[in-house]
Formats: sequence, structure tokens, C-alpha cells
Amino acid sequence: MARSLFEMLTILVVDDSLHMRRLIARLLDVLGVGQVIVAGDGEEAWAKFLEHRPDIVITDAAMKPTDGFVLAQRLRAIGEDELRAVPIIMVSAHSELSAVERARDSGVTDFICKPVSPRLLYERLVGALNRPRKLIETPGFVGPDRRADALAIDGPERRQVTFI
Amino acid sequence: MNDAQTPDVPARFLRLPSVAERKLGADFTAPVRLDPRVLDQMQDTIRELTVKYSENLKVQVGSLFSFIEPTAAGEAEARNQLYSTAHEIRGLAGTFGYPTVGRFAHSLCAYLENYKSIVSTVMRFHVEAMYDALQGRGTDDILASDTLASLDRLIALSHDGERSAG
Repeated sequence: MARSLFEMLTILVVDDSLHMRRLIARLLDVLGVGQVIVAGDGEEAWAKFLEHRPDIVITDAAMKPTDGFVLAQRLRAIGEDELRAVPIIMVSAHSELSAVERARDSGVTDFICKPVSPRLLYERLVGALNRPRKLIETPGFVGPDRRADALAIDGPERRQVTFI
Repeated sequence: MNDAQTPDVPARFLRLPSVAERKLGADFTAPVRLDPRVLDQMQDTIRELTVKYSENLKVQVGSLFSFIEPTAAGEAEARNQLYSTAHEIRGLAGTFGYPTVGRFAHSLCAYLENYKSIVSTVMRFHVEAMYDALQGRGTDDILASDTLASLDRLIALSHDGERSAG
């Protein structure tokens, strides 16, 4: 069943490293993803995104001339809701908190620190596929709605919050 | 902060069905567990690509040596190339089975990110550690951690009293 879902997917992979692009594209092939589009930087990715309208974007962070953060901001600023809500998974060697925060503030959906493992890639992919695409748009931010109720956790597992 | 202090921010909420739901209808979810056979195929794919990557990694680590002196002399282009090569190694080496090389590359990147003036000895020790790890020397986890601790001490000694740029 999962196979048939993956066959229906178009995924855009953006990385300036040929080896990384090739690796992720091949792993997605093994998962049975129907169409994998690759791009070497944010500019090329932008053009290919508009052309192919992918279901998911997997992007590196540090690239020239246009990096993954700027790409994410541009995607979130698209006028068409269906396109701007695309799940964006950032894959980066920058594991510092500042990089993760910058990704969050740019509207990135999920963040993977390199090195990439097949299991981790799959988990993040499935998370992006299954999660309802909830965006919040404010004057300074457009990106995934991260409020706790967006996760639909209920019952005894849900963390209790006390307002003081 | 209580409600009275919370500023009013205009917000628009957008809720669209999940990708899985849009493709296959309501209530459909992709299985969270990865089929072990598919996982094996993915591991095989990495092994297959590792052969090609290993050759590239040898060339990259070799090229790092040539950037050391120009970087220490303040050449911006050499420093950029040194950093971008080390950055690519830190991102890829671990995935392709060279985690120790990746750790040393990470340390080198952090050094370049945090200090404006660069000491060639520090860079050389990093690149030599990467070269050795690539040859299979010093890849034991404890030994690698010891080497990283030594590199940290070397950085501290080399930049005694200097504030890091980061």
C-alpha cells in the first residue's frame, strides 16, 4: 500500500553536492517514489518547483547562490495555498541550534542533521506525508503551525500545561 | 507574560489535508514502519555508492592540504575552498561509512567558523587526522575522541587570549 502512495509522489531534491543528490535520489528510487527531480541550488530548485509542483521538497541548507533557507521562504510566499503548504525537509550538516532555529523561522517543516540514514529519511518522509499541512501566516512568519494541538495528541500521553 | 501583555498579531491559519490523504483519500496514512527488505535495499544502495564516494573523498582530503598555507596567509578564496570542501566532507563522510573523517571535518569547520585568524598547525593536524582516518588509522571511537580533545587543546593554545569570532 505504501508502495503505491510513493509511486504517486514527485519529490524535489536540492543539494549542491552531486554525491548527496545522487544518494537521496537513489534512496527515494528504492522506496518507489514515482518521480525524483534534482536541483543543485535554490535558484534551480525554484524553477523546477514551479515546473513540476512536487509533493515534498528535500533541501540542503548551505548552497550558493541561493541557499535552502531563502528557498523555503520563497516557497512559503507563493500565492497558491496548495503549493505554499508543501512539506519542506531540510537536510544539513549544520547541527547547531542557530541553524535549526533559522530553518524553523524560514518555514521549514522538518530538519535532518547529516549524516543521513535510510531509516531517518524514511521516518521524516512518512511524517511529512501523514501530517495535515497546517500553515500559520503572520506578518513576520509563514510556516508550519507548531502549536501542540496541531499534533492531535490526546489522552494520558498529552502533556499537562498549567497556566499561572 | 499574561494575556494582557500579549500583543495582538494578525494571523491566518491554513489547513490542508495531508499529502497521503490528498493522494489516496481520507484517513489514509503511510505505514510508519519501514519494510526491512526495503531497508536492506537502501543499505545496499549506500554501499554501492560508497565505492564511488571513497575515491572522491581521497581526492578531497588530499586537496585540503593545498589550501592550508594560503588560508593561513589570509587568502580568502583558499579559506572558502577549504571550508566548503570540509563542509561537504562533514555532511557526507558519515553517511558513506567514514564517521571519524566526518567528525574531524566537523571540528575543522567549527574552527574556521569561530576564528578569524587561522593557524596552519591547527589546520594541518585536522587534515592529517582526516587523512589517517581515511587510511583506517585512529578510527577507534575512544581514540578519535581523544584526538578531537587534543585538537581542542591545540586550538586553545594557539589562540590563547583570543576571542572566537562565533
